[in-house]
Amino acid sequence: MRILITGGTGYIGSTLAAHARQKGHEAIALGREGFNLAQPLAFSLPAGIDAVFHLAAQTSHDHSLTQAQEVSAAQHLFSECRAKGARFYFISSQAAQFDAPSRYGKTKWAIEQSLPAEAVIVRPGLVYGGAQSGLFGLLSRMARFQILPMIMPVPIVQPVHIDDLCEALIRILSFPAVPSPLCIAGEPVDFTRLLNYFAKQQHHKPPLFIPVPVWFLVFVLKLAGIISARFSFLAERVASLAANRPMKCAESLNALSMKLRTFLPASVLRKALLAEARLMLAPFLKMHAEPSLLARYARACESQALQALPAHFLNRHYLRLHEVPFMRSSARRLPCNETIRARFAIALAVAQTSPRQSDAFIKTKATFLPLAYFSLGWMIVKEFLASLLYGALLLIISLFARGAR
Amino acid sequence: MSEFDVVIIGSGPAGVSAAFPLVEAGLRVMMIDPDMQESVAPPDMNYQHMRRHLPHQQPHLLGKNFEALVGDALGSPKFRIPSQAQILEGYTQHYPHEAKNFAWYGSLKTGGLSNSWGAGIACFDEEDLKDYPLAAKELMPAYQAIAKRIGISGSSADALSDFFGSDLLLQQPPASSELVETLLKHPKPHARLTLGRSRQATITMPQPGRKACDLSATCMWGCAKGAIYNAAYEAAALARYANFTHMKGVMIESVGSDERDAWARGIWRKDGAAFSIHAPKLILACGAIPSAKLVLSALHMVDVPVPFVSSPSAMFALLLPKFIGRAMPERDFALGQMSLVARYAQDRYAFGNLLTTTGIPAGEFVSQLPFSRRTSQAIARLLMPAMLVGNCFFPGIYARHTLTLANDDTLRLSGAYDAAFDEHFIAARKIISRGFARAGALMVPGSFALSAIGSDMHYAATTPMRDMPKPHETHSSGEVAGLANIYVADGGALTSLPAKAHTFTIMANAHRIASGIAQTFIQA
Repeated sequence: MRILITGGTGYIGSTLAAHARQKGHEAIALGREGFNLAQPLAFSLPAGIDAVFHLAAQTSHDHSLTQAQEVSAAQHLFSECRAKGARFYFISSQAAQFDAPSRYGKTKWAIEQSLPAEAVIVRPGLVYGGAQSGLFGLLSRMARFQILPMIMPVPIVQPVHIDDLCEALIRILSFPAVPSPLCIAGEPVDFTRLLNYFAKQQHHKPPLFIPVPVWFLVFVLKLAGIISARFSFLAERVASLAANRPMKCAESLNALSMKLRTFLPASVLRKALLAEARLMLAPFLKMHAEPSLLARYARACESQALQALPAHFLNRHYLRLHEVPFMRSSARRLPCNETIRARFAIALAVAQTSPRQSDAFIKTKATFLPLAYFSLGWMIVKEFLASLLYGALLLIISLFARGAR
Repeated sequence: MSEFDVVIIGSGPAGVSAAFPLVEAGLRVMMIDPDMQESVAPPDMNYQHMRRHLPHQQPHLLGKNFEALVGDALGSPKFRIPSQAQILEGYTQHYPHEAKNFAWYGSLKTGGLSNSWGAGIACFDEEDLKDYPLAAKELMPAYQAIAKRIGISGSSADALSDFFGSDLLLQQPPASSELVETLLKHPKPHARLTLGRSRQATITMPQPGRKACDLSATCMWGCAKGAIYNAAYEAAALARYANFTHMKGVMIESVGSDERDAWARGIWRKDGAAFSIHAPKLILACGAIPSAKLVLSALHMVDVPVPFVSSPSAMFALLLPKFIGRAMPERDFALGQMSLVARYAQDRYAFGNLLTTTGIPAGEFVSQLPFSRRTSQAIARLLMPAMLVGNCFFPGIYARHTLTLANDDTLRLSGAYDAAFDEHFIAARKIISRGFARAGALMVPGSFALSAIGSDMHYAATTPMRDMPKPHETHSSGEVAGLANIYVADGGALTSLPAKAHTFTIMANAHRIASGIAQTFIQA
């Protein structure tokens, strides 16, 4: 087939052209000179083109193009395709939302809306791998720093490897009818884990993460935007990341009979869950959790399609903040509170399936009455003292966490 | 001519109770239910032994596919037992419905909800039957016949024996815990609170195919001994009659009738193939809500809201301070060991059962306590042997529920209680907590809480029996007004719902209705 790619010199475009050629297609990759978003009418689709992938978009911080210009460029390209009998594929984004916080997401949404049903819309997740350019390049460069922000609440992203995305795009060509929008993205991963992974790819030292509420980060970047437009562009990117909505991709991937590589191998995910299990089960048990119990906790989470909590939350004291008596409403302001409380419930249900540790749940020996009263009193005193400490800590933290959600 | 005289839809307590008099009269009976699931066998050992020694507990406590974690949102701890979740599974999904402020449960399994019931038994007396077109003595022969058939245990000489009904053959109640014995020393701790032993459809003397209760405390999982009554046992017993046919795996979707014949149509669940049957008489015994749906659609009563009732219910926990420090007993009966009647207003009473904690997974208590996880667990472990949990039911008179069959065959359920209920609820709670405090048991603060509307599963009076029934209501013979030859024999036929356990009355009424039908055949 003869295919034409706009934005053909960009991160995805150039890789897609290479993939297409490798598969025996003839690919014409157009850069800004071949197809200019500012002057779309100057472009006329050459004869004999079977399909067009429209990837060209304003991705940098210089706002020289308006949204209307990008929309009319896409519409012109589509009408050229319709007139000359070529199929039209618009590469949109997971960020495409009518209320997207970024100009990029809003524009993608506007273009999606302006296209008729014959145009196929493709929404990729967060694309990574290959040459370090595009958003992937930006994140990789960021990951070189030794100290990184842990954005609160942690955004959830759905990474898709660039080779998988290009493979999917080439596969579309052999399907005359595909569902639209086609969502091409992997399993959800928390953003901190993603950055950590990128960091490890570059220098084998894990960076130090400092929690920063998203509103604060956006505020600072916007302020810095006075100095350089680069920063206000970054502020939009961060806000857009935080507003990321999960995409369901199973149907799209089935339609293309694609299976994506997992961003983190299953063994890594399992290992993270086992580490979490040890910490989560400990309060319910009197001895160390046996391996079979840890594995059961991991399987219980996997059965609910849950991944391990971000590693930075797996701290005994941080978890303890979520269980201060009568302060549940303050704890709700803490990052991951709901998730952590749900994990407590799973841990409790799993802990009581251990025959070895049944003694932690069932009292099989009687205690002399005064002694029983004494131990009840002692437990309550201990709880009270611990609550004073953790309660004070929780109050301080929740003051700062206000507005994080 | 049909090859059957009577077709019964539903195989729960109502269905089998209707089947017996018909089959015994020599009539050809077909009983239909939608069951096609494999059953999960309950653990065949006592609870504590299971917890301490069984290597693989996941199937019993969490479920093979972690069903217990999914069932977490549904009120009662019972629903978090994997085998229970499996009994209720898929039921409401089979009925297109919209529920507003109403929780609806049911079971597609043979035996229906008796697979997961509390096995409470009580006879309705004149006071309970005051709205019915029946006298208490008309039900008595049926009560006695069923008691003989299924086996009932309880006390015939304590403060609640008359409340539950005398003149029944009773077996010894299962041995009760020390906590219960202590409380029973004061059968009347408050002028308006009466305590007594529970009356149970649990046998303490073996019966063909069923063993006596051996206090395994695994009642919530279903009894491996078969000591707790389950209508599925009787479906198996009925199958030994040549004139009885049990059709499993069929979902009935519509019914109809004329002067001489009645018919039911539906589908085979396994392949969706059409199913159709007709007979001179048809008995609906598939539950108050589904039966009403079949009746309303046969009468083309679309978009007409029909009132029905359920029992407002609450759960609570009691602590007996002088038992703190005790060990958990190894053997115990884990359903109602003692009952309470609280007369909180003129002509109104609340009814409740008390259970020990022996057969309840400790996690249920740990998750309720407000402390940190470690402390909650330690406190629950220490206090559980000194605790009793209770449920409490109120009469259906407060219910303002409606059921509407919409044009597109969707069922609309909406639940509400009368404005007077709050005040009565608080009055009853006060009597119960004061009474128990005098008997030496403290109400755990904040524990007496109202359960979600409908979660009591006592759905009733959708097609109530009346002297002068309107269309969709039923005659005292059980026959639906406007639908000749179609009878309702389940909870839908009850005219009103007192607070006491109503299943035994549903069974007796089904027996009475079916005996009446058998009579008409004999006369013809």
